[in-house]
Amino acid sequence: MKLPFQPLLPWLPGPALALAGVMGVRWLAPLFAGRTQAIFLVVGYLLVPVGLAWFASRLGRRATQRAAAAAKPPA
Amino acid sequence: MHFSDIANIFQGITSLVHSSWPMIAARLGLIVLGGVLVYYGRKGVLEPLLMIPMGLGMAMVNAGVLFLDPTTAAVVAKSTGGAVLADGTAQGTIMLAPFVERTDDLMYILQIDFLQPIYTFAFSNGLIACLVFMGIGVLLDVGFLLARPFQSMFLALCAELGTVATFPIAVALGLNFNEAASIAMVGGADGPMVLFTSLKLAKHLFVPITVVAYLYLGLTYGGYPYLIRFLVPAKLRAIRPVAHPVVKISAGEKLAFAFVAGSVLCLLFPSAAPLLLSLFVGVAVREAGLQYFTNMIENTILYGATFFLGLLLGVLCEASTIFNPKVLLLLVLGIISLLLSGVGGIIGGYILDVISGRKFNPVFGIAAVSCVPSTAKVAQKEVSAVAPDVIILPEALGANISGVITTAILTGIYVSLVPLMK
Repeated sequence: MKLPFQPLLPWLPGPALALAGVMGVRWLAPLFAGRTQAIFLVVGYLLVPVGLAWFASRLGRRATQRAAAAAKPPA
Repeated sequence: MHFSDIANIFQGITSLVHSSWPMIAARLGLIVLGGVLVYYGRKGVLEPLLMIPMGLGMAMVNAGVLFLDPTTAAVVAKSTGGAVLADGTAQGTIMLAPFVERTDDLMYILQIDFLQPIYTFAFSNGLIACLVFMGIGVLLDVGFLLARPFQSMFLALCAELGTVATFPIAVALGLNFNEAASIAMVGGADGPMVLFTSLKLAKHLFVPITVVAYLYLGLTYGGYPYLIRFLVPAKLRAIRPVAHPVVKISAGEKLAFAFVAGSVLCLLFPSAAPLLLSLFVGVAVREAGLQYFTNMIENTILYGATFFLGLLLGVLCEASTIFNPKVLLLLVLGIISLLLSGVGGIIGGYILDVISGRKFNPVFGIAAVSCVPSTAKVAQKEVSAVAPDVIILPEALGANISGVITTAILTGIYVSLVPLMK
């Protein structure tokens, strides 16, 4: 069965990872102290650029696929 | 006519000879430095758009010191804790009083000092930094970043070495956390972000920190080529990047990235949200094809804000304002920060070179220092000097734009976390 939001699914991992980083920094890290808190902060802050880069690479891949489709001679 | 009347007419000279020797030397030194900035701005060695108004402002504010009337002198002295002479007057200028903050005093000074309205309503609240950032957003083509995001983002993270490593160095040298974070941001090589961070964290030092930042940013174009030649042998500088098919990123994809990246970063760093909104609204306006807005931001707002930024930075360099024992330390830390960021970027370039099996040009790394587009141009220039047919500029711009985003992240980290540190 094809769900109505299925076309959106491939786009979600990047922003979801970045949001996981945001949650790690803003909600999880304050629950701990000392070294554990520092680990949550560092990992959270690193997840944000990685998530954004993932989303950006998905956009780049889409552009590549479109370019390849345009370059393919019509059957 | 008595001699004192003549002295009263030429107050610029009278105030100079009535100052202490260090203050006379500082005023004359800053007048000469202003001339040097104008000269090198005109020659193109330093950024002329910024340095010519800044140099002129610096020279003229130090020449234009007079004896303020007793009412104005009392208002300024109350805010700054400065001394008033026996006749009720005090030395000062009628250009700007940056340390007057009490509302009543400010309302009075706003009617006296000609640049005070721009300083109060556009500079000290960070608006001018946001306007410059909006202009940068309109100039950025995030398509270069989207073409190779992981590579660009990795280099940009490495090129934040100075921003991260200078913080503990500055603390070890005696600055408090807020001051250390503000001067460490010079390593991000992004003037508006240094201005924003220092306004948020160390308002008492934001004038010298921002002036140091802009002076050094002007020097990146002249200094980084030597760093590249020192750290990357000519053989490696000539590496030809692996040819990738040119991918055309659509405006819709760039707009989607601006929306998602801006929203996620604002969620993470609400204190840097004005700066992030300014950057991404610039990108969005460009990619949405809003030509009237693009023209307005690119021509009127960006150039207008840059002009007043340069002029105000120059006028803020009045000897009594900038005369701070910490300035020498800030000068040293600023250059350390910028140098470390350059080194970090090149280390990132070497790491990718090793991972790719010696097919990646390490010079790309310097472009990840976010001084858009100077460092990307420096990288291309240095590669062209040893291999004229090798083009790295498009990919270098991708790293450059990632540098802006990682510097915004570092700004957010410092502005959010440092106030929590004890």
